[in-house]
Amino acid sequence: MKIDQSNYEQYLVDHLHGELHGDLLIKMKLYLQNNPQASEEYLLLQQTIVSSDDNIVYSRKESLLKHSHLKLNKSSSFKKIMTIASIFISLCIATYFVLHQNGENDADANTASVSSQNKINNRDSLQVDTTQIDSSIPAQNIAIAKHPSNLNRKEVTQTPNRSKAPAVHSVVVTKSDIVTEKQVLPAQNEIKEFIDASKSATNVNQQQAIATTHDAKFDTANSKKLNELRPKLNANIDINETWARNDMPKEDYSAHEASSSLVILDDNKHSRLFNVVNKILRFTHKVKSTKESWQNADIALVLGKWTVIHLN
Amino acid sequence: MTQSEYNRCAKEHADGLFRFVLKNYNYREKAEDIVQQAFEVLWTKCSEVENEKAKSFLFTVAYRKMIDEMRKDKRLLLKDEMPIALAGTTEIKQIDLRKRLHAALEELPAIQKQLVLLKDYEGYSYDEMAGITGISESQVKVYLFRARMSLKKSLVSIEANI
Repeated sequence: MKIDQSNYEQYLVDHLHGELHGDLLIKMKLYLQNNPQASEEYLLLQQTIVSSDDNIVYSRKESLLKHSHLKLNKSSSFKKIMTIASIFISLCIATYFVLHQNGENDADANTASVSSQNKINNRDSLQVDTTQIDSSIPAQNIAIAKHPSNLNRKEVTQTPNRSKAPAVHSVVVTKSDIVTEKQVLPAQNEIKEFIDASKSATNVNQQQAIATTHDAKFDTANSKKLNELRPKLNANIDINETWARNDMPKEDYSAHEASSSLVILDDNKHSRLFNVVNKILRFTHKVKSTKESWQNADIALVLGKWTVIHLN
Repeated sequence: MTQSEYNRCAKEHADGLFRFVLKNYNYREKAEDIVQQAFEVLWTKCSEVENEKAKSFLFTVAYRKMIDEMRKDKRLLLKDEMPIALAGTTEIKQIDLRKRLHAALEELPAIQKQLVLLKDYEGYSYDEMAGITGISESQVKVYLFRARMSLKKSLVSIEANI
């Protein structure tokens, strides 16, 4: 393409607009060098270039900007948050079940440990079981379960450790479930009288004498209460209410009388008690219990308003 | 384009786009609205528009909206080419060349004026201007040539009068 007088204006404008390249650009430059008039015209054309006024600015620029909560990211952010939340909730649920399972295992292990210790030290196991029961019974139930004969025992009056999870086989039943003559809570007045009298005792002999006196009152109160409860007992569950008195060895019965909050039975009594307690478990708590597992267990009954049957 | 690219685009091109629209369409408020609308369209099509083409996209949208508005207002003289009538040349003797050039620009047909502004303000190529305005590249070339000749003529007449 040749640049001449007939077409130079078009190329001149293209050159002004930076649209000439390669050979055409060289030819245009040569043409301008050789044609002063065209060169002058080019200078004039350069003056037609309109410069922008930088003072003119868009005042609403900030309103154009988009921030993190904006449309495009809104849905994805929402999904992310919901995903994190669902994962967190799932983790919480899983953690709960894992910890709960561990708690059960720990409780089983603790109970088994206590069981073996009890078999070695029959009498000493009283305190171990007391502590264990204390930690597994709500505070209000412990208070009710206190027997006057037991008030001088530190183990019974200890504050229960609420943080420790109760053993999985601990079953709390009410007096309507199992009530024997010895398990009826004496009237509160008799308890108060005993406490006041015990405070005045200066030695062990006096304390035992006071306990003997008040035990008679308790027996009277117990019998009265038992009579009140008998219709309900017979209606609900057939329990041999005299099992403890008739079958319990003298020394165990004495221990029972002394502590009144715990009954530790030797192996010979497990089978007998199994029939009673298993009936309760099956009747009230739908708990499956085998005779073998029961015979391998230590049993502690906290007498009073609440009866706790503690199984390993 | 991403959100950050969009924001960068807004910061870099909002002023230029506004100058272009305002220069073509002398209503400031309308020009601001057109720019706002153009960016809204860009934002809604963010996922479709590449960052490199965002500026052209903005100018294309703004240009078309501006044409629509001008037609609605009937402020646009839809003429292909209007002879430059530099009335009252004696009055403009004292006016500097720059102002006269802008005055001459105002006298150009709309399409020529728009192309001159796209070229001079933003440095678009013929091809890009064809894309923005929706006319062919050869038409762009012709319109721009006519515009430059007109502007040159106006400058020559001023110098002759001075």
